[in-house]
Amino acid sequence: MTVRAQWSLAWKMARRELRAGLTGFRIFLACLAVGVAAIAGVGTISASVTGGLNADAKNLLGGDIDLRFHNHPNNEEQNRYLKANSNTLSKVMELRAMAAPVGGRNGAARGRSLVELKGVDEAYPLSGAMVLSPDLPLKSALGKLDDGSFGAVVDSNLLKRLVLSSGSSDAYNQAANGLPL
Amino acid sequence: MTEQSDTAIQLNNVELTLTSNAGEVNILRGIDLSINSGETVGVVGPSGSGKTSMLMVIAGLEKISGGDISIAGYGLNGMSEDELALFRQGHVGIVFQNFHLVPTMTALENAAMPLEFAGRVDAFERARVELEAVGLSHRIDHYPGQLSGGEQQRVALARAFAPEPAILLADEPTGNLDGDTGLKVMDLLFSLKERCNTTMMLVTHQPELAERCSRTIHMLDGKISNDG
Repeated sequence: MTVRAQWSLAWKMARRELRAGLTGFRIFLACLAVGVAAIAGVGTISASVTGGLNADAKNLLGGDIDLRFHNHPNNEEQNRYLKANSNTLSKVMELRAMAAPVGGRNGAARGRSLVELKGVDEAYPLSGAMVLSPDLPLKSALGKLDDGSFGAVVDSNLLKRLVLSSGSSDAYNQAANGLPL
Repeated sequence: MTEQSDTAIQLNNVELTLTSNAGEVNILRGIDLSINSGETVGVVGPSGSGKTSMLMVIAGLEKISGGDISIAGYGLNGMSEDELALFRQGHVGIVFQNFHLVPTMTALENAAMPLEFAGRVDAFERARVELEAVGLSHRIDHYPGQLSGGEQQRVALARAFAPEPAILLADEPTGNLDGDTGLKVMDLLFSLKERCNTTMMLVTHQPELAERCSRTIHMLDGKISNDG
């Protein structure tokens, strides 16, 4: 028998043996396929999210660069540096707080929620535009109201959680007064 | 390899000793045996008397500890494992009690396997003819697991006879079959033997099978106690 015929016979025998081998490996192969698909899926979603963030990073951030001071305000020297090295500067303050509707703090029927409270200046946002519902300019939504209090802009999901209806001045006032606890 | 006369099987003072933790065990103790071409020899004896061991020695599957052995004119004493495999491929067919079919191959592939290893281009045609001869032409694409015990043994017979060996060794070929099926398989075995004029050695516990052979050898405690 020639060497080529020997290899051909060996391959033929191995292929016949694989009939049983593959049967036994079915579950293993299925697990492998699911595993690879899961890893590929996670990778695809991760790449998609990262790509989306990169594409909209400027609007999501509201500017080009975000500098943060933790637990203390920036001093005059830092202010001067930032003004000297920026075309436009916006000052924003953030803190974590617990929000509850006025008068509902102890009521079981009303919700309460941990929120991120953000105070912004007139320059905010440096990039993009804030779109509100109902359609109001951000400045007037945050401006001083007739009763002397200030307005607030709240995510509609938070209003639902706090059991307030969106758009009404009552709800608006309640949310505005209720947020800073 | 030394080619000799037309004596099919020649054993001279053959001994087989196996070593284990319990010490040496003498399986075959000085066997002298001569079988002519075309003879049909039945080997009977109690369990442990050395029947199967003698068969394994003749097939070259077990190396002897002493004596001389010559099968189909070839002296097996000095052969390597590869040479023994080639020798078996060309001269010896074996039928086992447990069939020993390859479970991942069809009946046709099982029967054709020794011919494929021998490099025969007509392997599948020959295998098909042999399967027809044993009445399994309608089962050639079935796997061993899809066949009954009798059918599996018939495939094993087709595989053993397909290369038309000079010597056929059968170790309790009906041991795993019921009475009727065993009888049919034995009829088949003897008719194939007649067709091919094969020298056959048949190890069996059944006296009625041994009586169908032209010669019966009785074994006891590793020796031939009666040869007639």
